[in-house]
Amino acid sequence: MNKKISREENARYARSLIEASLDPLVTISIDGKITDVNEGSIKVTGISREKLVGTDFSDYFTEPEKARAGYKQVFADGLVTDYPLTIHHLNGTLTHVLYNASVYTDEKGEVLGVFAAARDVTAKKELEKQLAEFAKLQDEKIINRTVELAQKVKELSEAKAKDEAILLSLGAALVVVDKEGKIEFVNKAFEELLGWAQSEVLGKFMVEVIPREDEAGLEVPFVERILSEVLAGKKITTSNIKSSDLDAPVMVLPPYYYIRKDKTRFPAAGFINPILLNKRVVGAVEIFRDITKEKESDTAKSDFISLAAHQLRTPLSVVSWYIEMLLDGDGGELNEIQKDYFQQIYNATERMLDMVNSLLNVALLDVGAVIIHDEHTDVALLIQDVMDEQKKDILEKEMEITFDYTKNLPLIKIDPKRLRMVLQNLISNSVKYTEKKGKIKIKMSILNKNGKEKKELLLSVEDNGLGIPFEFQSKIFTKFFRADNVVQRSTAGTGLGMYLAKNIVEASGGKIWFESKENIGTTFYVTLPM
Amino acid sequence: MKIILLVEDDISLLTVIQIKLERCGFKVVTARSVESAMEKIMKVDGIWLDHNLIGKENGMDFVIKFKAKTKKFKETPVFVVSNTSSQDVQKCYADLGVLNYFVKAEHKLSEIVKQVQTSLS
Repeated sequence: MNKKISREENARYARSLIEASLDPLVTISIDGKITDVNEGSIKVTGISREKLVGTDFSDYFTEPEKARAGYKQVFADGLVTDYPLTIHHLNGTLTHVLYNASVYTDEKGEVLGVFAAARDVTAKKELEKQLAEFAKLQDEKIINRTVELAQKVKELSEAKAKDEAILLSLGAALVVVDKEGKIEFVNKAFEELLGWAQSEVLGKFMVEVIPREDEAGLEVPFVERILSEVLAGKKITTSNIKSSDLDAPVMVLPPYYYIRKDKTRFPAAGFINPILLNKRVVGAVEIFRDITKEKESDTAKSDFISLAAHQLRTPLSVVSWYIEMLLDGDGGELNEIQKDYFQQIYNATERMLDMVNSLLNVALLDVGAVIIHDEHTDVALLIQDVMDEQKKDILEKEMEITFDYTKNLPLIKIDPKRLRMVLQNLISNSVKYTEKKGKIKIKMSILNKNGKEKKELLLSVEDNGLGIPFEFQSKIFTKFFRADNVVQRSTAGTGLGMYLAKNIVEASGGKIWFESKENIGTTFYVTLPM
Repeated sequence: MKIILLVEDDISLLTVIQIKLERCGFKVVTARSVESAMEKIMKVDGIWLDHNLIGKENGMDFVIKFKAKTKKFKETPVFVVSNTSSQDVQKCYADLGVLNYFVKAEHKLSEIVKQVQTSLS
């Protein structure tokens, strides 16, 4: 009796243990029929214990064959562990499990069946699946990104190669320097032009490697090199240089010469441009080329012009000097009519000479062959001188001419011959284009711009003459231009005077402008730097 | 009577200058090349010199040869009268010690002759 009780209790105890497990547990007979299940198995299949017991265990798996194979393995080996199978629920949901199964025996050791415990790994499987998908996605992303990067690298290296090719094949020499003026890059034209290989000059100071000379062969000192000034962030104010804006290209104009590796020199022209980063100069780029041919051609042109002018003047001199002799009575007494005729010829010859001179000056100016010889000049004295030259015409026309100027003005540095041309043009125009008994006022004073240090000389020539018609005012400084109202009065004049004057004044760093009203008068203004 | 050596290659100009100088009381000896001029320099009081001359040499070569040949250069005024208005040429003459430079086209003949008279009187 005791024994019986104890057996029942044992069975209860065993069941309570089995039911305590949340994992599906099952016992299977030797012939593969379910003998017992726990709640876990009922949940996972959706089938009651009564219906499960006595049925074939393999019916509840998605792969019955695999389930039976596992079952056979248990008998062969005594156990299986982590045997993967998938249980299907009545409602269609699937549960992924890993089975641990072993045989169980009676007291005599005879095999009664199999005990199998499943572990639900659905969540784990799902996670693994997600991980796998995520990994796959990541892989795809990485691959895409890598492809993109490779494409970018390709594009960049192509762009870089293209840039390099452009720089290399640039006809002009190019050199890039850092903020200290050390060479960072030179192109092929630089190497060919100067005879230096890039490898020889990298990291060296540009101004040391490539000395610069002026026309006379004197070396331009380091501090005066435009490159040095650009790097120092200085505003360039040399009259040779067109631009004073820091970020605008700075012109290097001839006559400058660069010295090659083999010590030979060549005239160069080009730009130096600062490289700005956040408004700070971090380096500079210089582009220049050899202008030997242009220079030769300019020299040839100016030589030709000089020769042509000389050849034209000689016969004109012959004509005018012979007529002068005749008019002076050196060829015998002339009657009044003869005198008048010769005077007409003489005047025309003088006009022709004026024209030849003007053309020569303009032509030389246009080829840049005018050499400016600046000297300390007394401008007041020069004005007096030019006024004296015009005295004859002024007296003839009974004009009144005055000259007011601030006394003790300092001498200014300018080419007196060129300034004389400007003054001659301004004053003679006023005399020519003002009626009899007209008035001309010449004034000169110092202009102190905004009270700053930079002073300028201000000149004005005012007349109460014909004036310039409004519609022609914009053309006054144009080559060969003459306004209608003066052409009607006199055919003399080349229309080159004001063009020359403007060019000379601007080349001297000054400005020229005018105010005019027809039949009221004209005032020309000139400023010159002091 | 003061003697002027007139060195000028253009015959028309040579003639008119000679007449004018003679009318103003000078004795004139003429030359059209440096070589010919060099033969006549010893007895002259002043020299009227054109820049471009017949032959390969010009007025500047003449001045250089003149200075090299005799010490008379210092006491003999030289007047360069040329249609070459090049500032470089004028500067070269000035550097050689010739300070009277006239561009023909810019002066009346009588003006230049007057200057010569003033210098030699």
